[in-house]
Amino acid sequence: MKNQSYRSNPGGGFCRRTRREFLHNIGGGFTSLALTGMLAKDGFLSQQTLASDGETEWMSPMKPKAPHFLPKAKNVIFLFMYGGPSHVDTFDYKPDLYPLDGKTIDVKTFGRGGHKNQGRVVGPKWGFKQYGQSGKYVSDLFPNVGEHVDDIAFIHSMTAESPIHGSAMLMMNSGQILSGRPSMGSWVNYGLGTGNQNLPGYVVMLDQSGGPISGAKNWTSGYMPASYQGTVFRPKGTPILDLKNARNMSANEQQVLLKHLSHFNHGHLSERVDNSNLAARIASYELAYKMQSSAPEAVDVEGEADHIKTMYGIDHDRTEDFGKKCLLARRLVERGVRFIQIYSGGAHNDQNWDAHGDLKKNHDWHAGNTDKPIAGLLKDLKQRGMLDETLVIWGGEFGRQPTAEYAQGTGRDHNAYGFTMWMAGGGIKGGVSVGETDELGSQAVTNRFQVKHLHSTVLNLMGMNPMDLTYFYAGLDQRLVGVEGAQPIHQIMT
Amino acid sequence: MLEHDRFYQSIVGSIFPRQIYLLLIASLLWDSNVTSDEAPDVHFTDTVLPVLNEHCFKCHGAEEKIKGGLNLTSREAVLQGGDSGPVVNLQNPQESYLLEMVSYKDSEHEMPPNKGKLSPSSIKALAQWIENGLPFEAEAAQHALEETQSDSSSYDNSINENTRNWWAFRAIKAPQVPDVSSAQWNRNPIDAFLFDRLENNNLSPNPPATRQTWIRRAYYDLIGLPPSPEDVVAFENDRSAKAYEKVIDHLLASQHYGEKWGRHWLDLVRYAETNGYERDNPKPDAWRYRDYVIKSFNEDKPYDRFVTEQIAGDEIQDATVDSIVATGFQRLGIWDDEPVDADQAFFDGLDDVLSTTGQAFMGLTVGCARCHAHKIDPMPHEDYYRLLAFFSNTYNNIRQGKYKKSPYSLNTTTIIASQEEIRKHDQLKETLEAQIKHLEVRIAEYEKLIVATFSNPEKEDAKDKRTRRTLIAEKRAELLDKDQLQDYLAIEEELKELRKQKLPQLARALSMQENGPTAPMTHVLLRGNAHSKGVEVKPGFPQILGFPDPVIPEPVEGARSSGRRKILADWLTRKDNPLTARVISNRVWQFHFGRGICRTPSNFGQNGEKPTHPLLLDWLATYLMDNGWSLKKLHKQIMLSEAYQMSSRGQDNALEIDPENNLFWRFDMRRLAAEEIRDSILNLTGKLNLQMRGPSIYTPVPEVILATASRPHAAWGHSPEDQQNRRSVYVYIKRSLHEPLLKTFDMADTDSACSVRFTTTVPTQALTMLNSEFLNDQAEAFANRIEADAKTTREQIAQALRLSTSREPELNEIDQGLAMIDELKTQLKVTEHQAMQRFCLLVLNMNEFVYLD
Repeated sequence: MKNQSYRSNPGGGFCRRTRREFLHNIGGGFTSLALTGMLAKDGFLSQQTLASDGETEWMSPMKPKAPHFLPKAKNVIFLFMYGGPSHVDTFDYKPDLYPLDGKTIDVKTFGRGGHKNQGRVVGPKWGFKQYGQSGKYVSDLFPNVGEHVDDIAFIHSMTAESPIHGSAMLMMNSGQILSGRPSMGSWVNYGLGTGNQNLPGYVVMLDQSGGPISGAKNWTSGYMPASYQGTVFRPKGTPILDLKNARNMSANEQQVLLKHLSHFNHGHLSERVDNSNLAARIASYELAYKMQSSAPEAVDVEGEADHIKTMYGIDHDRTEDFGKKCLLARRLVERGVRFIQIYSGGAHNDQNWDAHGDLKKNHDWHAGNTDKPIAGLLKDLKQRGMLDETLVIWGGEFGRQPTAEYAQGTGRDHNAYGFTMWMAGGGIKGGVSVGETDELGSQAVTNRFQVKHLHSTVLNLMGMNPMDLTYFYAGLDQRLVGVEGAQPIHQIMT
Repeated sequence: MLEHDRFYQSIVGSIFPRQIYLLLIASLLWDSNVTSDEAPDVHFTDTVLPVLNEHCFKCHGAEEKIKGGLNLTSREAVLQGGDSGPVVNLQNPQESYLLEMVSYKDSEHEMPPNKGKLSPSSIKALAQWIENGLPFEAEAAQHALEETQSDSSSYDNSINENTRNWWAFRAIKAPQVPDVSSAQWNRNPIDAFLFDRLENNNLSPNPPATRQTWIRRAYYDLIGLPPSPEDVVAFENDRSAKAYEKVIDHLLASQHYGEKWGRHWLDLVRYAETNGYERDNPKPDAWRYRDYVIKSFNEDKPYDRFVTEQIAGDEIQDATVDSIVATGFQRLGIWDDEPVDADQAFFDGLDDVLSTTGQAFMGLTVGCARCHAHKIDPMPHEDYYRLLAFFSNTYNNIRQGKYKKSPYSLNTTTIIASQEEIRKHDQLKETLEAQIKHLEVRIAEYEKLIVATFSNPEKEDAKDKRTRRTLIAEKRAELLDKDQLQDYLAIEEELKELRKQKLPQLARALSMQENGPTAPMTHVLLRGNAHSKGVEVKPGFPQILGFPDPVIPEPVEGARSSGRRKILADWLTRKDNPLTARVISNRVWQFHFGRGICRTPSNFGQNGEKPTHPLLLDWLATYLMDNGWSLKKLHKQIMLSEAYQMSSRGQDNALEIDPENNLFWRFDMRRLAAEEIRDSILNLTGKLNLQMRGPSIYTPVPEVILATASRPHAAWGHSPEDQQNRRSVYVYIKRSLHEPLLKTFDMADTDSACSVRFTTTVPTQALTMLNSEFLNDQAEAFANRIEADAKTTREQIAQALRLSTSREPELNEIDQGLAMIDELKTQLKVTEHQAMQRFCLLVLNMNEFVYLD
């Protein structure tokens, strides 16, 4: 944490909601000391005296805010491999595992099928090759991503608290296995706001087959205001819910409506000038109007050059969908969207990376759909000089076991004892790997990290001290990284 | 740098500016055993100590238990080393064991554990320290330690005279009502309390709002719907002394009162109809609890009884169907049916109930004492478990490990049908079974004929039922004559139909039941960990409140429960319990005035906001208890006040002195709640279906929302159109998929208790209000309605404004509407009807429609 510009700010200083909103909406309540402290620090008290006149500009909860210290990354693209990709078949090379194929060995596992002490090894089903200056081994599932290993830092020693999808998804997204907590994108937007008020600050793109289990719980703002929740973006048609009029009202008609609405609202406001919420609501209609043109413009990839589309695999059926989402992610980052999450895989079973049955078929399918697009994204971000400030995260809610789940077949059960995630871009050292699983890939053995270390790393790279990014709720200063907190993974940070 | 600043703050809190602090440290050092000609070691205090303090002292010095025998709080102790020998090597500093540990040499050598490796700069600082020969500033270290131990907070969380005297923990005493100079504000004690404070601050209360404003306010506050234009006119023309009272009485008697106030309660008890997590399965008949709550408010059930029923409705002597349904309160929470750790999940389930009970009924964040003593309130760690012990015998649906054999499942419900209904049900069942039996006998006779012709191998095969059936089917045509065959097939068909018949299910309730009369032992769980049992505890109340421990009766053989929750309920509803009446009175005030007298309605602890008018709050609490815990009487007393009549307009002077309206010099405007917005729209268009009670309904949800679910087509149900238009309190509440309009306007999150809703203002709300199918359909219906109500465009516009604002529109407003219609028609060639639909959409978007004065 080399943070020359660190601004002393214990306990947050993030709560820049309008005073009225603030006072009326304190879910769990702020102490008067903290309240005064926080507001004073924000210059909010003095500002609000002015706001009572109804002239001071209303502050959107999503307005960009200063980080704690100089950030290394400004935006995040989280490529979520829902279902749990097998690490030993993708990025965690285990040469000793191949010859054990079919042999029953002693190994502790814990997955959907419960705790086991023995299992039949399924040797990795793909070969591995070395790539780049770093000579990193990558499986044949990801030949295109392999070309970028020198920009990537691999964390091979991830662990999670749960090997069950429901709770593990919540864990990866919100840091806790219990439901009801805000997701990482909400925390980031709460802390930093977003760069473009005409677009949502936290965008989620789902797989064609459906949402992940627990649906919106994965991008919820939990106990925070709904303003911080993720907005689902569709790559086709109207990108956001209700962006287009359901009754085909033309843009001209809408303009007429908004003009007259503004007259009515200003008439109403004229006798209530001290209520900044009324002015805020008027402003929100102006923003909504702009959003109607900004969002379709952002998703319109038609103007992109053909070689760019090819780079993302948009010219092939298999990779078109994920490729378009990756390209969209780049366009959204360019337009200031703070946090973007793209799901590879949705719904249930083999619709996602949850390879319980035929590992080969499952992973060939999902890797094949995403390898080119992900590589394209990294390449495109880099050639535009955007990779320096954009943090790309790849991984699922857990990994998979080295052994078979059933008597027959190649399917692997879930594994939260050890798995791989990788990051690239803003503040990340390229071509490094940290941590190891044992020779079977059954569990992390050196430099074990938990999900909160990953979260801590993200917040840190974004210029926030994870311990100071707090939200007071239910009598506690809540944090994404939990009460005890967690250090970032220094080994992979520049 | 960062550890640094935190270190400074941890020592002096935020009370002293940094400079003073440095002086303070310097003077401390001066007094220490550092010799005067030696400057304090800056490297140690600035870079090493913060690392030690943050990452090491906890296990190596701060607590009584020193881990690994290694104490790091003095130079001598560091040199002495720990169980595994010396940790520093002053001759070859690089070979120090301590450095190996912090560098995470391998999996056996990782310090600090769990929290991850220290930053490179921290490790460097430690290496440099050893290199420097281990200089140590004992005093500074001691100071840092003490501050860490006291958790650097200014809160006193011990039980003593001081904390016992915290406003919420003191006994409630009827306060003396002040005698104020204004005759008008001296009549209702509520007004006297408020006026007294205003006068002392040189403020005067706002004049009364117009009657139109007041009646709209009263309608929305009590029933969540606006008055009709006729209601307004009638009230405006009623010059009797009792005009206001009549409106209040009318509204309190309305069945819709329970729907509005029941919803406030449902927020507090995290009401939802599914379990959350991967499957997010429905909770059986959870809606009965919602109906129970609505009914209880409508009946003005005394609040003490309402509390008792929810905590112990199955244990009380006069248990009723309602009181059984009430215990569903304890079953509404999130529930992971596939937990990682069954023991931990068991306690998570109990925690959900206890934390909700603490917040909803007691206004205390009890949950904060689950892992350690409450950091802020005087609530020792064991207090949490003493309270937990009241619930320890309740099952909570874990179906793994040792809980597998629990007689209960997730779907355990109590049959609440009447004897008569059960008798009828049994009768139906018997009749049906007899019918089936009769036909089975007849068919068996035919089959006997057929089976008799089986060859030996066939007989062997026929042991398999399916094969037997196939064989019979193959042979019956040749063995039975035409009539027999026809008869046989007819019976078979009839049987099929009968077997398909499902008897109507007996009414059942999601409810609480115990595992028999003997409660298991309860232990303090160290760090909240289900696997680290501490001392055993007995049921008890928060010690800060000073009540003697309850006498827990011996288990009664054959009894269905331990009776423990009844004891908790009795204690909660004692009149000398300082919390219960204060907490609910504050909530009633909150939903009339927009904020509680205590602004943190579920946290009356030291981290909550202090009440702005503590005496008034005590007066309200006393009034409530003196009037048989009747909430309706409390509503009436509040609503009859001058304060409730005040206008919401600003006063220059008051805005300057008290911009937050801490003293209630005006009535605060408020935005309608999500349910009120949706219900008001349906009400305007005449589509609102006021049918009460019963299973929840589904509004149409756009495909985009359904696509977010892992099973998009099974994610949401369908209700017939008239059912779709029922009040929002009857909309199905699914944890993983919230009704989009309600969600957009800040409905309560369902996973934990919500005492104050957010009121967000974001552009996506405007998009919904302008573009969504629901709004546009309703604008169309609204246009149809006003076109039927009035003939001319002018009259139609006036009617639309009148219905939506509960007032007569101004001429310039009607002209504004006409101008819009005209513009659409002439410039954009839109039809008259379509233009009216657009105008109606405008009306639904007006600030005046969604904001109350």
